Amino acid sequence: MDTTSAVTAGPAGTRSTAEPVLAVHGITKAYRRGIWPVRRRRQVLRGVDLTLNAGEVVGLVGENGSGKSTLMKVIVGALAADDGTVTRSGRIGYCPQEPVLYGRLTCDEHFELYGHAYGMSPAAMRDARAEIYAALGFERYARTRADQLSGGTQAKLNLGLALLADPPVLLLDEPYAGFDWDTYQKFWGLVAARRAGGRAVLIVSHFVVDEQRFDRIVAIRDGKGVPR
Amino acid sequence: MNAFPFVRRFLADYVRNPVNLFLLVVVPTVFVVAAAGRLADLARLLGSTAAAGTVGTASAGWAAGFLAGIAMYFQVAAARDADRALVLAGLPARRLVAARLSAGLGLAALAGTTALVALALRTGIDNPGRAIAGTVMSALIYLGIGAIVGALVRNPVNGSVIVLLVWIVDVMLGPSMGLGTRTVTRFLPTHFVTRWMTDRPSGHAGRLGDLGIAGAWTAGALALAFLVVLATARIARHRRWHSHPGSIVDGFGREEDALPHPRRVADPPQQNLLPRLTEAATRRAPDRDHPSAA
Repeated sequence: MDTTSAVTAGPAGTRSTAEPVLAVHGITKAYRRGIWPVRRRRQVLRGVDLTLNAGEVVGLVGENGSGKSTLMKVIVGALAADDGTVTRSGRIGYCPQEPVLYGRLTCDEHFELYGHAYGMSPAAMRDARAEIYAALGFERYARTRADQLSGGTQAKLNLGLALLADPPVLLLDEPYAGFDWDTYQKFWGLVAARRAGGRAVLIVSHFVVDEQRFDRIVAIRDGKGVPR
Repeated sequence: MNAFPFVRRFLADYVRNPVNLFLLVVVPTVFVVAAAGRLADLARLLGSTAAAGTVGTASAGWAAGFLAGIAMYFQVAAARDADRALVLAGLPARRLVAARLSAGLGLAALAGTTALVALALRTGIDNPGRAIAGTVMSALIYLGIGAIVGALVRNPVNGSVIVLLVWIVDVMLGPSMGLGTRTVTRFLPTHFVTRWMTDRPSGHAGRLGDLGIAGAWTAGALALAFLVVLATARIARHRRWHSHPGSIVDGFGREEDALPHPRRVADPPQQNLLPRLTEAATRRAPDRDHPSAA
């Protein structure tokens, strides 16, 4: 693909920088259920192509069970594809659909662990953590265990862990499920700031109202990615 | 990046459930103090020629082994998804597994110490060296068994039943409980450990001796556990991971760039995300394990 053809227009008419940071080509994935001789195979992805450029926010839509989350898991490495290639230029921040947390660790302790995993210095981790607390408004729960948080605050922590290292590519799988309206607006403010900073964001969404917020939308239909 | 911060948090995550801590202390104590005598009676009924004292000594290893196995099972099984998320974030899978096993060692040490103290208070310990080493080896063998089952069996009922079944067969068919002469029992996890710690040579240990085979069982269980947990924790590998020459990734399309692991790739210089994050991002220190992220 010619890089110049990948330039996309933002919602306000701004043009993204069109630096490719993620390229997915021909991803196929089938789930196998049961044991022989009644083993069944369900093909979910049938050759998905997707490109994500620096500075663009892309929506990933599709019916329930169409394979959106599967595609995200394949991209991040949580699932192995049957075929296809995933090429990327840097670290990926991944926010799974369901919060994946250690129930008896506090928010601060989660950020500390992920800071170590991302290879951040303690000072950088603390600064980034403070910004995330402020941006999403849950600093008062810093020392609260994850299993004592509400669903919405768990979702904030889940998102915050993906944002912590400021990765060039963000994969967010329905990140605002459980957010109140105020947090929902703050979330889109964060996304806009990331776009302005040259980060690429891929968001699984079911909300029609979100469509105008995306630079472009890719729908998973019949196991393939089609522009919408 | 070292594993210590992860070990500390993994232990905190486990012991903050007060029931977990309670069981780690109470079960070995009750088992050694209250059940060992009855087990010795049962052993005599089953035809064991072992002295009652040997059952008491072995019971410390059994108690420590059972608790270590169950604790490790729940540690690995319950935290599997969260652990995987850390690996996806960039923590090397080997370091994660080392941290998990190290945390398990801490739990096994607590269970083993409790069992030995209970044994010392109940009957005294004739040979402290063998009792301590045998209890530690039993705990480590079951630590490995618990980790392997935890990595492979998600359902907590099924997983704990498997660990319990292995332990019951190991104890009841072991050398202290009456069936110690059957050839098949030589393959039980703590057969040689029990023989050595109760100072009853098996006579079928070959050149390695009872202690050598017990040590091999211990090392083998831990090594196998490491490999199995590693296999389930690491990032999925696609059948083909490569970049297309001349494609959009031209310029950063090295073979290793196509690998999903964050440590393999370089973060390209980017404009900073949030104005308020500028300072934090610029202060990010180079990391020895993420040389490309500097």
